[in-house]
Amino acid sequence: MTQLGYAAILLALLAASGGASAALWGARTRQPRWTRRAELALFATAGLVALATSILLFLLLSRNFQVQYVYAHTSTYQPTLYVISALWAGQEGSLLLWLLLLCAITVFVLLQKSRWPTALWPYALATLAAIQAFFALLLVALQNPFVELAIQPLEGAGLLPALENPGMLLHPPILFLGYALYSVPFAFTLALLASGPLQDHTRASSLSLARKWGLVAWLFLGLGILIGAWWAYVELGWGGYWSWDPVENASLVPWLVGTAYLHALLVQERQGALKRWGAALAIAVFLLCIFATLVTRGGIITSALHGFSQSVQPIAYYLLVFMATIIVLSAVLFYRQRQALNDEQEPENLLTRESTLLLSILIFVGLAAAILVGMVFPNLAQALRGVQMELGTAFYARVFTPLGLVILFLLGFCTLLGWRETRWQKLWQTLRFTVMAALVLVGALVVLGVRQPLALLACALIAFAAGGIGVAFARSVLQRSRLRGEAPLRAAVGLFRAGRRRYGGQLVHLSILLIALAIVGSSLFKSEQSVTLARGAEARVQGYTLRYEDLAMREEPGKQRYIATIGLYQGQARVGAVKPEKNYYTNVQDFVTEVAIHTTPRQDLYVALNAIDSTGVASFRVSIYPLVVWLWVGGGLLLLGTLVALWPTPSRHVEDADGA
Amino acid sequence: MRVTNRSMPSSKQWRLVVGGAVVVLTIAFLVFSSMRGAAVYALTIAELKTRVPSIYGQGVRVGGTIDGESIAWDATTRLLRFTLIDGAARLSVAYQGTQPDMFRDGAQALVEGKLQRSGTFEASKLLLKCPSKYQAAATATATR
Repeated sequence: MTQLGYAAILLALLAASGGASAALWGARTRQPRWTRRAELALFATAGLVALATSILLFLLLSRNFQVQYVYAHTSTYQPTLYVISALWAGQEGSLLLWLLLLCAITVFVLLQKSRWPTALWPYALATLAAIQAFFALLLVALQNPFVELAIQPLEGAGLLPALENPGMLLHPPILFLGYALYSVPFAFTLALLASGPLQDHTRASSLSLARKWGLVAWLFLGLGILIGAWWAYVELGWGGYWSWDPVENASLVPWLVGTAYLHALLVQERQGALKRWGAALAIAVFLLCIFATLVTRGGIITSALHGFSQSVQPIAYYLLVFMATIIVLSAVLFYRQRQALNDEQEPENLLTRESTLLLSILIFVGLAAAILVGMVFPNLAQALRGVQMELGTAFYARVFTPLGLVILFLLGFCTLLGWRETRWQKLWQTLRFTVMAALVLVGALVVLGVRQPLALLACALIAFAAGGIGVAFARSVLQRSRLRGEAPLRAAVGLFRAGRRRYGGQLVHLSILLIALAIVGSSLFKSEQSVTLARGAEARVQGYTLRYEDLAMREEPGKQRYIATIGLYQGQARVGAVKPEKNYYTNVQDFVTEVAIHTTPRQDLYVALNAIDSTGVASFRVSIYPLVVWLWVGGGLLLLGTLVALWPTPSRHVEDADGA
Repeated sequence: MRVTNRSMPSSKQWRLVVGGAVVVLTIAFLVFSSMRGAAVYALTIAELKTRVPSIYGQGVRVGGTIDGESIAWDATTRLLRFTLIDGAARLSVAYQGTQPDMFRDGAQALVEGKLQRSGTFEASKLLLKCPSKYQAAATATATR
């Protein structure tokens, strides 16, 4: 079984390398039959990788503890769902998952062959095949998941308690899918650069291909990050969803650059400008996805940061060589294509949509670069000054806050401007409303007792941006209903359907505003206190009365659960109950805290059970995090908006002229 | 309406280049100014003690093993006191916050904060790693 699995990866490596060579040969000699051979090789790779994954899954499900990977990540009492998720709990398995997702995406690309410009196709195939070959090489040379132990242990080590969470089922695969999906815009761009004169391919039809893949990848990466944040919030128990940890940062950086990429594509599509930006950003995002793997798996960044003696893993060198190869190759291709990458039109006026889009791209890239600097700072300090030092989270907060505010402003301002030129009168008509909306909100907040300047500024910018989106939509609805004599609601639906892409984009913008609102509320207005209660006693926390009603002990395979029940009252009315837990896990031989959260649209009441003494007196940490729920609502809206924007437009409709 | 712009006056392009440069420089300035005061030195307990008094007020990250007998937690003030051991060197730590999971005798801990003149290390961050077979994922984080 294990031999078969290893053989499958080995053959996949051969097939992918063969495919890459065949595609490249087909491209250079312009012989379509070599390209077809490459296609077959890629189908074969996908089949082999699927086989290897199925074998690993089977070994996990049958709890074959003789296999080291199975031993290290499963146990007999582990629920089946978490046995499946053990597939990506360890390094070997997660690399296999990366490869599997790459293969699945490639098959999808192969099935859509007709949509690709013929000149780009073989180069794109060669790129995708080369990436697959690289990951197969990692598995074959370093990270074979099919290593057997000399003896067969009776029981496995099991999954870490913190990994037993629905977040574990969703976060890693979705994040990996995001990373893997960015290989398509990357392959597209390399093909664009490699295939020679590219005037034709930078036009709308092929750009829409890049845009769609870029958008799907952006969506999955974003969702993966948000699910990770949710997981940290509900599981890690320190009450935050973001801690600027290098592993978190590693996923945020490509997402920010991916955001810049989407905006560059928009300008490229509309104006034939920012071609260099588009190409460079596509390459950068993919590089950063590989870099994220390096950070999480390579031991280069974490070693300095967490200070634990985690040495640099051999995989780090492979990843670094891979990245260096991509950089050199891209630089050469860029140099060769420098003429073709000239923009048809340079942005002329500063106060136009393309100029402000360029500014947003600069800010997105700047923010990503700043976070990247923070991540590699320990390595830089070591290399340049020979001292071990790193940057605390204060650094990230200081950089993120002003840049985030600028992004909010641009989000509101940019969409009000016209392409090429801005008509002042029209701008003023909208600006009136949006500035008014911002002022009214700030006034209302001040009346309600909010005094923090930063919060007021952020809320004003959010209202400004949301107002702009609302006014623009309302104006278009009124115009349409006047022109066509439709009822406003009908006109709104019709407008939305005709301009899916534009309004999907606006929904995504609204979702970002919601997320911003949640970040402002939960980071600036959180509060926390500790209460120690005997059974039946009460404590008052921020308008809630907490009554410690019960403590139950439950024996389960692998753990003992201590479950406290706290009734929540507002005045005399019981509004709910929370059940924080403290569970003893036999595999790590220690207690693990499970927090309980009472969520309302206004705020989250977050209760962690700190300690229980022998008499049943328990101490709880009770925190209030305002507006957190809007973070997750924003995530849902982000998904919805992106799907709306991506949904194929029936061919008789022309893509909405205004874009978004 | 597309106008060819080959004859575009270069002053407009210059404006854009200058604008872009201003943005880039502003961000670079922001990054460098934010670094000041945010830098944290990673030292061993022994190194920390040799750097007195210049180390007072400087952010430091120190690692060591938790001495189980030293752990004292005050639930009302939420103050956690314990001693870290690294070889022969010992460091008493005060951390405002609750005991993270896996906080126990013999666990490896990292604290981030500042050494006070009293000799107590005031930690603002406490990170733990359980000393078992688990890898980096086992790192339980407690942040305030």
